[in-house]
Amino acid sequence: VNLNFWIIQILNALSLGTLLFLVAAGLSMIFGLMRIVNVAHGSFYMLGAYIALEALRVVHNQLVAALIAGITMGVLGALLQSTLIARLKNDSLRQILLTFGFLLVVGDFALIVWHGTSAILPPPPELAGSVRIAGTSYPVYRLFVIVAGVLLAAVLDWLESRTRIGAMVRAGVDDLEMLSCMGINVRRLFVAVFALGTAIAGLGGAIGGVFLGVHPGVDLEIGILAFVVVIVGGLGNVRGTLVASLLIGLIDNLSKALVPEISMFAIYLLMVVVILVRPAGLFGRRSLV
Amino acid sequence: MLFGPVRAATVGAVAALQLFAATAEAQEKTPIRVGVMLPFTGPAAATGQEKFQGIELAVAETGFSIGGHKIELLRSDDQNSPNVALTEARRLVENENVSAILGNLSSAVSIAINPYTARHEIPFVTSGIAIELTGSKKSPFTFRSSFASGQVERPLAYYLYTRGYRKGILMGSDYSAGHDAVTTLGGGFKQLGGTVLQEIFPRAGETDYGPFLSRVAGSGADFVFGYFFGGDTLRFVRQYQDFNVGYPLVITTSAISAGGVPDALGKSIVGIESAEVYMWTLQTPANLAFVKSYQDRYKAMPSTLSYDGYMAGRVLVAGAQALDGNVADRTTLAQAMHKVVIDGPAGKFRYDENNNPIINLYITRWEDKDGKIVPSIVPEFHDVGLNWAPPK
Repeated sequence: VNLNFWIIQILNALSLGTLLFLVAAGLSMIFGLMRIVNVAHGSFYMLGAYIALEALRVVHNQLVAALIAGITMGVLGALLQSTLIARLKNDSLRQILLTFGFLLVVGDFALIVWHGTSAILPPPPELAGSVRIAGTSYPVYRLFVIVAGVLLAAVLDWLESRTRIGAMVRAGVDDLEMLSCMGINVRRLFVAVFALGTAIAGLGGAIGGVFLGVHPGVDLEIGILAFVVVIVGGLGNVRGTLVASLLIGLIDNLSKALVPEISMFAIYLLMVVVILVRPAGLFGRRSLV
Repeated sequence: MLFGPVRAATVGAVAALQLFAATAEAQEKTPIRVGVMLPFTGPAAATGQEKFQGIELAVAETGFSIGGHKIELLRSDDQNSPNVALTEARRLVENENVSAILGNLSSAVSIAINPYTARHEIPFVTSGIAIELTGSKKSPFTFRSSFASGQVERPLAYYLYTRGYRKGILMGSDYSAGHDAVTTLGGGFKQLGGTVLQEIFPRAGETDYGPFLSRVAGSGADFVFGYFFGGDTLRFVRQYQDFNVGYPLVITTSAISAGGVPDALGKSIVGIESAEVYMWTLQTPANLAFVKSYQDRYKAMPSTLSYDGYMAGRVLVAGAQALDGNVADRTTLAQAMHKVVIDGPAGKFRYDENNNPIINLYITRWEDKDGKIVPSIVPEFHDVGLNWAPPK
């Protein structure tokens, strides 16, 4: 255990953390604004990865494939929100059931189309291979994930704090009724935010599928991690989600590298502590319960 | 006269029925009903189908008939779940009156139904690798078609040592089979004089191997062994190559060769070595014939799992053939199956006293030949049983 060890572990933590951010950011926005517990968020990640895989066969360009995955998931999210979820206004229990049903349907659909075989996306040729950092080789692609995650965080933060849409979302998180009294079309805002959230999840699937792969069940694995991030970070704010993602990436990595025996529950322990000490999450303004 | 035509028809029908029954009796002996229990739905459905095709091919080679007894295969979906499997086993035995059950992909499923089939004296051929199936919970009615946990690791340890490797890092999924493999391989390797630098057990379904791999890099090992399956193999191998760990990688049996892994990973698997019980590239007459009839029937190359299914089918077929199809007495059937010696696609296959197969083992290196990823067999070991010992 020396300086090099820490440099590599922190890079690892950053790459897993930023990937988690890519998935959790959308969930946090949806959760925060609409109070919708979107259990199916991981489905958009999984479908995004599969669609990127299929798109790659046709376009042979990872960037285009990732964009196709993101856009398709955005459209699917908009459809899900406007045709189904919107009918169950303020009924969070039935919304959970609905999104859970969606998760099962998508899971079975993926099984029918892509069978049970596991797949892994190839990295773009420019980002394949590794570079020497701190005495060991480090995958270039992971450095790219860190950059992509930080860029996305910056864009979302700008969107949230500097634009009109962001102001509407923040207002909506605090008081939805007042927002609609001010003449804002809440219905449209909801569809837009839901679509943006699922589009980012689809993009996350295309990016994460390169080193995490895609297989039946990844929807739940990733979905649960995204929920932990949102609970730790607090509802509906980009910075909280980013800090929580990085914190969870760090704890997961250090526990695996130093005490592998506790790595399975280390992040859940963090979640329990946060819920006990700060029920609203580290940066949340309103309690979850 | 009103009832005339009805009566005539009835008489005619009865006569026809009697005639039909008589001819049926003359031509057809009791069929041999075989339950084939595999995951036909769910995440493992594709692999279940591969194994089913192997079983079906073995039976098809008899023309679906032995000694005048028709063979009927009854598909039963265990969904890879122990609970479902037990219900299905009861249905097959108590309602469908099967003479034998072939199948299962998971040890957990095999362990769940093994006590039931043993108690009801139903020959059961499984690919569950859990050692207890032919160990502490063994039965004259339980057979293995694949290999047992620990069976391939001893010769593998010997191969690695003779290859000149002295220091190894052993990694395994954190469940019983992963621990078994690492313990057996490490034990054999140390006995020969090698050193195990680290044993690492990431959880099954691990997403990020980065933290483990950065510990492995720079450790000065001669090789790294990995026991991972399915999606774990894909992630582990991809991340191992991405981190450019650099030490030769050895992957456990069937993990690379099954489930489309070579297609998914492409060039990432070049240089990896794996221990295999079957390779579709084997150039023996038996395998060339097997590959040809499999391709003709299913338009695909047989996988390790198709081979496993094929051997399960062959064991049953050979047992039934020894009895000329009279399988009504299950104890004689089990005895006949125990005695089979098969010259199969992967060489000689026979049972030890616990119904665990003694088989050949092929150490395989994955190579890039003109852009195509092909397995090439480095050395092979013959007559590998559970008590295999290195040559003196």
